[in-house]
Amino acid sequence: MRLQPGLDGNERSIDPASLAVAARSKALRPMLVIAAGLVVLLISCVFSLHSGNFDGSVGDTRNAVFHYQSNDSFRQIVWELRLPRMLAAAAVGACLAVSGALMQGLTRNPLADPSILGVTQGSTLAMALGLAFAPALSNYSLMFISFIGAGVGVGFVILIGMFSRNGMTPVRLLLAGMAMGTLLGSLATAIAIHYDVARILAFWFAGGVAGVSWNQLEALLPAFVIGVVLAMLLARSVTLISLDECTAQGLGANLTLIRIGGAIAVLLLTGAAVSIAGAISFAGLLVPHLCRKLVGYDYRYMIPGAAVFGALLLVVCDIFTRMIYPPYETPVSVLTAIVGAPVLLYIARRQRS
Amino acid sequence: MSGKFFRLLSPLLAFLLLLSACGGSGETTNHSPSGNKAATAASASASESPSTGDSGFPKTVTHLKGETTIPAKPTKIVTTNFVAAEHLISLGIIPHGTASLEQLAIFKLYDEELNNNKIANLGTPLDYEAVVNAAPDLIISFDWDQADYGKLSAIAPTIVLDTTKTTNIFQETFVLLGEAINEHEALETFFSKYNATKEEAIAALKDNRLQGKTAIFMMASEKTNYLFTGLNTKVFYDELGFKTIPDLSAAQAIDLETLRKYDPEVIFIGEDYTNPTGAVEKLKDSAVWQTLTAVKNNHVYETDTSIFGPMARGQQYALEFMRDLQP
Amino acid sequence: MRVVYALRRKSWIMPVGVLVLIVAVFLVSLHLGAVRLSMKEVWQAFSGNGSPKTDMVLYELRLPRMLLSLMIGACLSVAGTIMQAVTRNDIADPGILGITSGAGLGVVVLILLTSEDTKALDTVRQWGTDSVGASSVAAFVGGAIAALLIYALAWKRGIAPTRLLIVGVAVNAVLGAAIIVIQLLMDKGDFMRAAIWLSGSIWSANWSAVLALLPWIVLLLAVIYFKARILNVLRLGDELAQSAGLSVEKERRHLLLMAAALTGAAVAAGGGIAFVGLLAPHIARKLVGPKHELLLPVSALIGALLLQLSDIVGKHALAPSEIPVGLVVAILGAPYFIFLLLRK
Repeated sequence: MRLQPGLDGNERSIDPASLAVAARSKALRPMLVIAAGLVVLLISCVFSLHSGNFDGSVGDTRNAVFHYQSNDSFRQIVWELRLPRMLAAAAVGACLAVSGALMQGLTRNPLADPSILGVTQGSTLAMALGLAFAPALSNYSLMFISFIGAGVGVGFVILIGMFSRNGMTPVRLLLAGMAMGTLLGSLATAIAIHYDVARILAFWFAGGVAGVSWNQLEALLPAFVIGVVLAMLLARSVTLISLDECTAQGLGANLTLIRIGGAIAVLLLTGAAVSIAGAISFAGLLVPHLCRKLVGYDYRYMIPGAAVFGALLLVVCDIFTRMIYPPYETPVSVLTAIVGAPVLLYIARRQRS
Repeated sequence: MSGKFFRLLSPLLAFLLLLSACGGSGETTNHSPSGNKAATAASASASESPSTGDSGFPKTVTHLKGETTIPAKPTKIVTTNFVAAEHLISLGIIPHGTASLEQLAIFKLYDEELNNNKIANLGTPLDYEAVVNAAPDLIISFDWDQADYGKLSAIAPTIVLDTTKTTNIFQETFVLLGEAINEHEALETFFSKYNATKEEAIAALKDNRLQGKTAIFMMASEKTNYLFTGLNTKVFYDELGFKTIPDLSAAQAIDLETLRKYDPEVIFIGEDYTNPTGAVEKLKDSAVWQTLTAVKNNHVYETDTSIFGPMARGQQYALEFMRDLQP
Repeated sequence: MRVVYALRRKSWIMPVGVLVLIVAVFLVSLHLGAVRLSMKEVWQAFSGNGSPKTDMVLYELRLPRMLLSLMIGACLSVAGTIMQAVTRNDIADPGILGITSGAGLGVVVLILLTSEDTKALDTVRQWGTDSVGASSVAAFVGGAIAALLIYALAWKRGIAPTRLLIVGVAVNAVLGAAIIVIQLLMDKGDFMRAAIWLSGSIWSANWSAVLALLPWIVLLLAVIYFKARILNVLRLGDELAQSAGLSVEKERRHLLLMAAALTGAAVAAGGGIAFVGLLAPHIARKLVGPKHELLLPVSALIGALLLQLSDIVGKHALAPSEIPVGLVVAILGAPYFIFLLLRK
């Protein structure tokens, strides 16, 4: 048995057999937590359908969803505007959270998050280029471009990891990621200012699911499904890697393949999320942290947990964007920051000096 | 000798060599002699007052930064923002150069002047050396463009107009500028046409019964829809007779749901001129849009967004647009 | 290997080398610009024989801007060196203290208020400054408040470096979100002005800015140089520092304050330029090693050089438009930074 520091700084004994036993006997608790999360998520979804400027009672909302008739304007609003928006919020939240969980596991760095490692900025740069040179693109094309941008970001992170095999400490990886993020973000801003698309791009930077259409959701769905499925397939390997790379390798895990698979999953998830909702901060950083406390270190529960709680975070924040200052909307990144920052501060202050 | 030094800083050294080699390309070509001739010809014909060419000069103007004496009738005026340039064009004067020239090129209203004259683009933000190159005899600046008065006044006589206490979208600033350079006749011509068109528009709107209806003015964009309120739409509400929607009087943006809630009777919509992303089309495809009263009654009018801005010619076009509406 | 050892002993070679580079770039930059000036004309102007036009271009336009970029670069890189020593973490930069974000928030709030509310604008004018001067004040105040906030939140019987970093990330995120929200309320002209300020621009450089910044820099850099030994020891760890006789908490506080002052001055003058503070110390450390007696001056010089070069590129690459210098630093600096990281 070996003592190794885990992601929270505490030492754990790593013995594969005991790990398996422990996992099985604790399977119940994470599943209960995830189920509870799902319930809260469903309740929030109902709230989300109910909030908006156009007034209607709860009964109206229920009728709107279940007895859709195209000639009633309230029902149309619920179906055309609020329902896709709610689904998009849930999907984007899930995408970002799962993406963050994967990154934290694969880089063994609890501060990893798609925006800290430059993945989000890569998508934003791609969007900036798209808006500057080919503004009237279809949703599928925009998403594709966003994927490419996210891919560039992920690709560089992987490359840097590969090239400095011996000396790549987590901190150095973080440094490289930050540099990459700054570079791509600055390029995006420079292009935006020069080609006069800065104001539109600001909406992307601010992030939000307002105005999402069914078309856009259709484009999001395949990426979301493939990304999550891929993540689940990798889950066991990522768990091992996140705890101790050498053991993982010893158990037959092909590190390179897993890293590439993880990169593809992150690419799909982040690319899709950014192309629909812009750059939303904190979801990918915070939700995995909380999930670790709630469902443990096993990625087979972490990934669904991240998906559920990520969706919950974003749906709730989206509700508040409409409730804070009606009839105006507050951009969602303010809310994720308001929710996320105190949690992060709390985590920071609880650490031993 | 210090290999490490050179190895690490060699990129920087190479860059330095590149810079000095390309020192010649530091010159920006933003002025051509033929353009100069055209410019002087145009301004001479536009601002001719028969045989009183230089009366009123030298003139001392009191402006935001103090007093400036303009020694003679200016022939090479340079502006530090495109709105001032626009005002000059609306007075029939072609500016010698302006900052942010590309902002004027967006609107079709200025195509003729821009295509037939070479106006120097002084950069965004303003490149003071380009101003030096343009060798102007007057520089006009507004308070909000933050150009450095000290630097500008060292190049040429400079006046800085205070646009803050205006109660209308363009009139006060326009008059201020015109009077500072003694273009009283051009101002008169402009406003007589403007006021006449306004009367015609009011009559036309009364005739086709659009007057008195609630209206909103918006610009569709990819992620949001901007709402124009305040000074931008004051003439439409206060003088042409459209009705406001009180709850939305201070809004900047509007989404479909809010639009449906307040359901204005008339909608004027423009596309984001800096970025035509087909946002108006996407809006029209939405089922919720099609339930709007204005859409059902065919009272949605697509327009060029120049009618919402502080541009004199744009505001003239706004009145013509309103006058020629088909209900 | 022997060359490197010999190099370290003649430790003055590096700073002098960088200084020579700076002067060379300076001279080259003097003859770049929309107004073509030959070296002869430049020399004439400096010796007092120049034409009025040449004099004006050189003294009013090019010289203050170049000097300002040098000063801002030096300020930010020294602040970054201090931050990296105090937090014992190479990813620290002056932005961590929240000053850049806080300053940005102050400025966008000012822009928003003065564009719509004429009363606010009158108050600004009463201060006797124009809006550029007011921006500097707003930047300074905003930065100070943010720094205090981060310090207070990170303080828990002392400032643990990791905690400072995480608190910095959190507060910066909130401030960043607030900035974007306020920006979205602006009309297009104001929005662009804010965007350019936030990306860092030395466009409004003039002699009053240079003269306002100069005393700060001279004073602060001198004081900081005397703290070089303390920085060396702090970087080794709290326990070691304490056993060496330092009152760790007090020294940390003083150093953070000085870093904040440097950053505040730099940001007030040049807007949101942050990356230099991260990059320059790294480059300097590779050149001259970690001892702060040498690291601080070389860091300052490298930062000055970086900003100088970036300003030249930003001004001339896409003439007549200008790319904000903060963006150029990031675009040129980040690949170089990654290159350095890979070579370790």
